[in-house]
Amino acid sequence: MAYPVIMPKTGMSMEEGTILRWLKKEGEEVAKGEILLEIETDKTSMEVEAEASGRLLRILSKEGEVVPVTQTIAWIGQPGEVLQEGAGVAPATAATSGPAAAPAAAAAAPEAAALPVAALPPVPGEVPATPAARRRARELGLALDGMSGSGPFGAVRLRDLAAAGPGPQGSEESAAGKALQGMRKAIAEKMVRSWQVPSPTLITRVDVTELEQTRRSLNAAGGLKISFTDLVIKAAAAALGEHPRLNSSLEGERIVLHGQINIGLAVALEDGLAVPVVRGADRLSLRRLSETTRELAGLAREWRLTREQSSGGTFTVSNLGMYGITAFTPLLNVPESAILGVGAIQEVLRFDDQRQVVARQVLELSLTHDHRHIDGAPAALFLQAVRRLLENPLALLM
Amino acid sequence: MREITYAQAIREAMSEEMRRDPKVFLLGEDVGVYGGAFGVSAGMIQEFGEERVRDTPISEAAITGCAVGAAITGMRPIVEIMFSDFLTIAMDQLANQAAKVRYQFGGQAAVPMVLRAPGGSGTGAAAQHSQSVEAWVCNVPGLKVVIPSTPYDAKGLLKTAIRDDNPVVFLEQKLLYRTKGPVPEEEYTLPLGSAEVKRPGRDLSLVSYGRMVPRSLEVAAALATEGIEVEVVDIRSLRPLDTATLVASARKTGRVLVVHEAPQFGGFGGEIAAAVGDSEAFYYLDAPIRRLGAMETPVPYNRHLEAHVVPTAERITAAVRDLLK
Repeated sequence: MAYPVIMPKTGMSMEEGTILRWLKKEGEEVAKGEILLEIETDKTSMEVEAEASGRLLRILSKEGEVVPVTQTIAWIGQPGEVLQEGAGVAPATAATSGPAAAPAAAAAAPEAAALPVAALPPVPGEVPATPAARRRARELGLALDGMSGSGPFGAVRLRDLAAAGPGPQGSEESAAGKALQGMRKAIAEKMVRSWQVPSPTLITRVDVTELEQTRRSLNAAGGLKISFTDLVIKAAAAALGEHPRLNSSLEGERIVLHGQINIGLAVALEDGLAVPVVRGADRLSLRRLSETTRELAGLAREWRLTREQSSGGTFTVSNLGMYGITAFTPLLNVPESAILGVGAIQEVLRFDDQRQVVARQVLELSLTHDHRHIDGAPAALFLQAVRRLLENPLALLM
Repeated sequence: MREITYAQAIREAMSEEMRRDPKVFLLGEDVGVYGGAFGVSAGMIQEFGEERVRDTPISEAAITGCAVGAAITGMRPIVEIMFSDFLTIAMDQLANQAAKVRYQFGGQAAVPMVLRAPGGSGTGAAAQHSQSVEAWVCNVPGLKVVIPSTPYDAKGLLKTAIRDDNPVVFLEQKLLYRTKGPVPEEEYTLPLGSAEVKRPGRDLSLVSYGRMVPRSLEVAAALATEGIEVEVVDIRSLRPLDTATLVASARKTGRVLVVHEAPQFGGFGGEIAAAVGDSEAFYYLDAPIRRLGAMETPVPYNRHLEAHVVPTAERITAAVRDLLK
């Protein structure tokens, strides 16, 4: 019969203790009287001895966990025994039958709903995860390898993948901070890789007065919802066709030009960032492109992008204009070689051809490029091409 | 809308169907002069007479056998078994005859009968008069099984059951007989095999039926004050089972707790859990599917123990919290 190891009450005032260190691992043999673990109370730290001999079947409370006194923290027993988690109750065998046994059965099995815990060793190479977490990991293109989840048996759950995902609970935060995990961790690692690439940012000012008028009249006339970002993607896609070097990756010692122009669009999430990809952006009509970006951005905000929809980008557009940012220095979405930042539209006074002061709408574009294989001049030529397209809406729409 | 009790709703359903179709009649122990052990058929003998509201001897096998014979010869009998526990005595007629006649005679005969029987604990009637026996009859192809949780559902589902050409086991809930709810004056029916979301929510699907539905709704309302949104799905009909509604709810919330009054082990909750686990909803589950049924014991006579062995509001709440932890 399995024997529960409980958090001992070592003093009258002790209500909880912290697990400092387990000296035995799950599956190890323990003898009665052997030191099993070290705990810490608010006053002192101490060792806890095993009160039974057998095998340490399961550790329920990990190191660092704070556990109320008398709560079961582990089980000692024989291999293969089926455990039932309860408040220190040794696992009951199937309830006996017969009316005389009824009250006893009722008392012994109050938590029949508690899941029986099979004391099985972990499966090598397998990460326990809920079906929902596996599905989302696939969609996000994340590997579960090495992840340790917050669920029972260390199962990875939705919240472990996206600390700020649209799950029912928020992320687990404590005074000690919040674990860097899931998407947040993936972004952190990617940004560090990006930072290692020498990548300056060029900034240019674009007059979008005509473009903005064209956009408004197109939307009004055609019942469309073309956004400014759509127009920038359209212009960038067209310019990339003329400047294929910006649509490439430095892979090891080789510069790989990408055949397709797949433009990623940075979409802000609550505590994260998704970059859905518009495939073949140079071949889409403005209407189709606009529908695609709207659909993808919506899916991204609901964390529903498939792996297909969030991978394979060759160039990225990031718009922070809606936050009033005028220009910035975007970091490369490696292994891509360039990223275009879009600033806020501003009303300015300018001289026209006759040196008359006129009110115009302008915005600033910020192009960060991989200087290892793209020098300043070719990057500037590309940015100039984007600017010309945006300043000449008819050319853009051709 | 007017409010009537669960018992009144059942009486209305029977009376309306008896007025509509002369083939429909009621038989059972004390259903006539006494008006039924729980008063469900009170006054019906005055309206329909002894021919159509028949008091029978105390023999569930004979009552059910009579009904099977009457149904085969063209009548539409409604049997009342005083306590669903006594289905054991009617079981040969129900499981071996009623459920199989249509199949074994190649469709040449049908058994359009309804067997009504109250179930559930909570009345101090002890172990032989307090059981929830739905799982016993759900494993019999050929039977339909319905357990309503509101007066509205009871009336609409019973009328459909009476009109059905197959035997329907209609399990009423003793503790709900006196509960009131809105029931329209005008005629309506509800289809069998259609679950209802009794309360929408995003965090967890609490799937239940019968008396545990109102209890689940109370739990859901209490948890809502803490921002936990529990969706309560009342399956209403166990056979046929509306899997689509279950799957849609489980897909939405990613967590499923099944609650019923019958013993958990071997209970119908396992069928619900399997229906969810064996569907598209599996890929949306973020926690194991949990069941909560009665403990592994006959229903105790002691009223404190009796109340304790079935899922209590506290245990339902704890199970919800545990799944959301």
